[in-house]
Amino acid sequence: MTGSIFNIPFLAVAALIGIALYIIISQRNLIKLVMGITILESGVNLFLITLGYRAAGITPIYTHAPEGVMVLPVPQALTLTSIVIGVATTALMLSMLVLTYRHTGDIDSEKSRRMKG
Amino acid sequence: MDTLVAHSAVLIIAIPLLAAFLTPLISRASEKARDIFVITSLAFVEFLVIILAKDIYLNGIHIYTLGASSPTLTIPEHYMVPVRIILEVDAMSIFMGIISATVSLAAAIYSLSFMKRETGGDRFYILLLLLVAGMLGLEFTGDMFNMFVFLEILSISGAALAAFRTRFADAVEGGFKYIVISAVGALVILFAVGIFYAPNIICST
Amino acid sequence: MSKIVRTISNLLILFILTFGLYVIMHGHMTPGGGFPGGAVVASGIALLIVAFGSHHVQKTLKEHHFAILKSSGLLIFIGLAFGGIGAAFFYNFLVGSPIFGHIPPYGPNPGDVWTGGSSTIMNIAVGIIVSAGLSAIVLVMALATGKER
Repeated sequence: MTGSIFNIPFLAVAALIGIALYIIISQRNLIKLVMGITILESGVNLFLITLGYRAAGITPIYTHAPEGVMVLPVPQALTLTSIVIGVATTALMLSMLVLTYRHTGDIDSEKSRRMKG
Repeated sequence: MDTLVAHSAVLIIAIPLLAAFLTPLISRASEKARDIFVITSLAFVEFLVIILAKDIYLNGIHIYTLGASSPTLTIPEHYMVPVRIILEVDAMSIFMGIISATVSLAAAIYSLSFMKRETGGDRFYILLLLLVAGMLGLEFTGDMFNMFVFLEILSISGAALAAFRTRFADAVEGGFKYIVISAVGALVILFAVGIFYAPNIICST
Repeated sequence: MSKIVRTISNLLILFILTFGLYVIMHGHMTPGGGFPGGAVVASGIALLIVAFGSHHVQKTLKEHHFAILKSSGLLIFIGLAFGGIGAAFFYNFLVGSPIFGHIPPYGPNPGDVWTGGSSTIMNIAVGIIVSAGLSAIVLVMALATGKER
């Protein structure tokens, strides 16, 4: 494959997002659907961190720092925010699944079609 | 009045947030105090939106920088690009802000007698105030990542409100479908924001 | 769970809570901060729930304790954000004052805990909010799915 060795994280992002979209479309068990959304969120977070790489960079911490250019810290702050949002979304989806199981006794997307759409 | 107009772009977003955090304390006193508090804060937001709209019509775009030593200082000394979170209010934003504030005030007034029959307590009003803060933040923000953050606040509060009456199975199923579709859509928006950010990085690979 | 698991988790919970407090307090010098430190504390509470069972833990740590902690953390955060409203919202008005007000030197240096101003206190508030919130979520889900057996 052409290009340098620093393209490997981008290939990992593509693989994660592709697998996650396939899981979301094709699984019937609703807990596996929530797992697919978590994998999609991990893929997008990895993409945001990989954008900030500078060649031969060190970690952006000022305490006892060695010499050299630092990698960009702004995408890391954005990724931390996105991880927090992902935790909140996952918690809300799982709570709604617990309530659905208590009403219908079955976690299957073919059975939760009371609203027809 | 002049300082109120200068700070009003951020007070419109911060006052529903402050009211949402104070509502559990106030509802320990009595239910009537909580109702009056929610209606008063939403009415104050409506008043601020109207005076900000009049000022934008006369004087142009408002810019507000969070955390600087004065609200319009976007580029501090020795810097070459704008830093910090910037709110930018122009005519289109304040038009949507007037619609959002008016509809929220009407919804809160009409929900007072409806919520007397429900058993959710004060959680309905906390979620409604968070929804209003998310909507107004989405309209007044100046950069794309803040748009994503406020969009997620909006969708989580909206899905929790859609599934509020948990004794009906239809409501919970509707809320679940809302949160799944909204979460996937917002993650794809974040991916697009990342692609927008990439060509502007000066990289020496 | 068996007696070995209960004894070891009784011993380990001290170290987990101390490490979580360390990550929260040193958020402005080392990686971490409010959210990861709060998640570490919540995972310590989750260890207690798995080892002892949710009914036993619920006799001591009730849900309204977590609600009070969460509300007070949120009010500290939004109160500090409104504190600098004379200049702008979220203005760091504690720089130069004796509360967390030292000014750090430029460049690489060994860190000083007493820097940061109001953002360090906001870090502590976010740590309280996240640890109380995530622990409440884990406890309520364990209670809700435990009764249906």
